[in-house]
Amino acid sequence: MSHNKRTGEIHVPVLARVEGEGALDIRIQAGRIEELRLRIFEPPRLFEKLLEGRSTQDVIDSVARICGICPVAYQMSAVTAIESILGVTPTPWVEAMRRVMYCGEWLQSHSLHIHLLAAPDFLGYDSAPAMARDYPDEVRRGLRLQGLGNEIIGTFGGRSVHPVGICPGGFFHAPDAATMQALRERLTEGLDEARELIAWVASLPLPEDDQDFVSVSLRHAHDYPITAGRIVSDQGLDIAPEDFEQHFREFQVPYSTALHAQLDGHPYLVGPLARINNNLDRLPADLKRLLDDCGVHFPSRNMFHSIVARAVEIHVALGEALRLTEDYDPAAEPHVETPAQAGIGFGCTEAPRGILWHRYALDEQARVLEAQIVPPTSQNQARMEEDLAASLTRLGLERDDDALRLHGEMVIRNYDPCISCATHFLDFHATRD
Amino acid sequence: MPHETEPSVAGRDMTDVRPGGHAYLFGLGSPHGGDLLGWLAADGLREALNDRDDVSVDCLAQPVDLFLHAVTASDRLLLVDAMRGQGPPGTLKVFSPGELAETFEPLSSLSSHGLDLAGTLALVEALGLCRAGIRIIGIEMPAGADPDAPPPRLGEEEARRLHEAVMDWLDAD
Repeated sequence: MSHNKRTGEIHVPVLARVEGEGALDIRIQAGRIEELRLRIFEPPRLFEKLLEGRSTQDVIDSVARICGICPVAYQMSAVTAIESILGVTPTPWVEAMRRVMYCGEWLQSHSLHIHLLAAPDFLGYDSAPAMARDYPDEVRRGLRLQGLGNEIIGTFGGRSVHPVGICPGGFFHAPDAATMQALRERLTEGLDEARELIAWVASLPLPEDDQDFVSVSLRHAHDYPITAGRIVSDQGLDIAPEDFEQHFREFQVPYSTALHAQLDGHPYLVGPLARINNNLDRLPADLKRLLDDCGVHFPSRNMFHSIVARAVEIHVALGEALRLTEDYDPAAEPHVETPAQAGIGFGCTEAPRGILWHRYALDEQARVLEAQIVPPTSQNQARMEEDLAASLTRLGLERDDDALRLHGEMVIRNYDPCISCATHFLDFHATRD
Repeated sequence: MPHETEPSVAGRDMTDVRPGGHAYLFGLGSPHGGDLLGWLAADGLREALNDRDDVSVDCLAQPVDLFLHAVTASDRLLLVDAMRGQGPPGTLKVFSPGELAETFEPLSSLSSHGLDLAGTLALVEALGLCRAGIRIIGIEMPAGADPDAPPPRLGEEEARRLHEAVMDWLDAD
């Protein structure tokens, strides 16, 4: 038993291999963590205010600019909310192809995180290029899968970064059959690589660190949740997206430009591990067998199983994209006409990092009166702090600063935080004498 | 100052590098604004190089998409991208990967996340790919960001200079 009653401070001034700018400050007093702050100091981006007065198409194209890696998620949550206000039901073709496009985003985002951000931590490298020298085949496989995801997004969106293909009522353009056939051939090749990827990440030396946390995700009537579903938790929550604010509360903390969120007063987890924990029965049987063979069991309380969940979702995304494009027939009318109409609407979809909730109020010309966006990273902030406190304590606070700093960064990166997505608000108070 | 030099291969065993491997020529960009220039360049070069079976030409939306192609250690890589702040619109500059990092390092933090050009080239180097040579050609994009501006075009003179620079690179020993 250690009798070390350490006192001191640990600072990670800039978090590496996460998107955006954040820091970690820890104060240890007599061998206990007295204060832990995941400090997000990236300037607020004011997107919700910028959307006011904009048309519905402007909203869809603008919210894609919130994130370079999950623009599709922002577009899908927005278009879902907007179509609910306008009273538009997308055709089955549109619903299916939106799901395919979203699969592209999961594929590229998850591949990027596994190979370039997270895996170097578990294998003891300080960067992806350093790891690539020893694991060239694995990294190249990951880059191919990432590129394939980009290709899917570009097929529907005109480009893979900040795509422009989605409109209220559907898509501007339906990909032709030849393009889709070429894409399907690549998807088929990718499916084999995804199986190899699952086995590889399951073999990584992942720390054992079981914790108590609440998993929150969407749940769909019969599919693995991506573009639609009810918001559920593994503690019995089961609500429609429009009831989100009755259970979830966003609030500001002084040290972060991103709002924190709690479910009924407590931190919670969103993202791939939460999704798979809540939707294990929605995975294909062969995928469940593969997981059993690899010795990784879900639901899991080990946060580091997030990387395995991401690999599984890469397989899900490829399988779904193939299933939904079988017998592909380009739509003669890729979108339906949408009337201008006032109202309030909600959209909630599963971004790669977790549920992404939007609320819009539109006027009679369908221009935005109010917008509210709750991104996954801001929802995970409180959980990350909770996880950091538990993980670092379990690691041993008597360890040297570098060891604590390194482990803290690994814990944070495991969530794949997108700080730039999260910093969209500005809570401004002026005090005048 | 950017110029035509062989990129650094320090510390690498070059014995397995096969001179005259396949050449990959990628235009980087998007369909919008000045960013289109890389794609316009690739489209023009594809036509001009149509009769050469030792060259593949394609347009990429992101640098990382080059890994969708079967690039190997013995291949050569040429990337054409729009650039800003390097001279009047239409200026062409040829960079080695090292020169690219030096010239654009101050702007690297402005890149959206994912893999930017410098990160992609670091991985290409780490994976030992394209060791027969890597070049980046930058084309200065039109000044300003006027949304009503007409789409950029690659003028006849710029296309000629680009073609010349590419042929010099392709035919170099």
